[in-house]
Amino acid sequence: MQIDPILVISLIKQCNADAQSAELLLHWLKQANLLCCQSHGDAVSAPLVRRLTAELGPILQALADLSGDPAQQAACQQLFSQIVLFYRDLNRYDGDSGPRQTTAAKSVSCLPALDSGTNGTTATVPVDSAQSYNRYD
Amino acid sequence: MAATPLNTINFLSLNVLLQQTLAFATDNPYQQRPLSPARLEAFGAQMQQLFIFSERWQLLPEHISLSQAEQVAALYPDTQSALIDLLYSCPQPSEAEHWFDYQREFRARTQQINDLSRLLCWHQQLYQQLLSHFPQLPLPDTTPTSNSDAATASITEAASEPSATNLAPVLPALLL
Repeated sequence: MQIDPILVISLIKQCNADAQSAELLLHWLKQANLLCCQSHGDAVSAPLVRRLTAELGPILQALADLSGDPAQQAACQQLFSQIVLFYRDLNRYDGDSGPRQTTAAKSVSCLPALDSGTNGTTATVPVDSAQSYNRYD
Repeated sequence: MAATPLNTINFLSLNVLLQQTLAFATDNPYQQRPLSPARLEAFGAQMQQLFIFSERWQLLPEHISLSQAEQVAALYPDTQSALIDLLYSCPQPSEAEHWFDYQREFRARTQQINDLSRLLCWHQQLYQQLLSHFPQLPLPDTTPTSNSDAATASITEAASEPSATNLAPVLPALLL
């Protein structure tokens, strides 16, 4: 697992990130770099892997917000490919060392949100439409 | 004896690099997100501990105990975070390339980026060797969130206090 922190920092600067996304990306980089260093040893810390998998969403969101300006698109593209590369490796690493913990964390974080979301919409929409139909009838 | 020495940069050059980067970080008015003086001071002290440890490890590899290695490894997240923040806050050299100052600012910025890059590489190398030499080291999963946030806000005092108190027991152990 490898990441080039110096390159990533200069890409973040080139992307002209606002303070909030810069903070997010730098925070991500610190964790990712720490994990890369650990991966050269015998083991990686499982909580760190879990936190990084959980952070993929916010990171992609920040990248999506950054890539609006065409002048910065090349840097954003490069930053994106660095991040993708890191997560591909992380995924592979994940299978070796703590698959149970990470998949458990994923299912806990994603599924309830999806369930409540779909339940909420499916529950309210039919009721509304039923009421409107009743009114029109 | 099995320790592969980090002989890429010698002890005194490392100290010079550190002093140069600290001087730039304290004085340069164009930094994007300057670090607070308290954080710079803590960072300088921690880096010096790492230099001393690394030198001792090279010279007397048999005399390094696990607890000393643990203390040094515990310094890693904070110092790494400060190095990354320093690199980020250094302004782009290209923006100062055509200033009417005989390229002083351009060269200062370029040098700062080069110095920090060398320190960061050395720092990573030390940590990797530490981990491969002492596989029983606890892995820090504590992210330096409080410290990185402190760079922007005024939480620096609260954040630097615990690290300052942590230094006290480490220093004598390393120097003895």
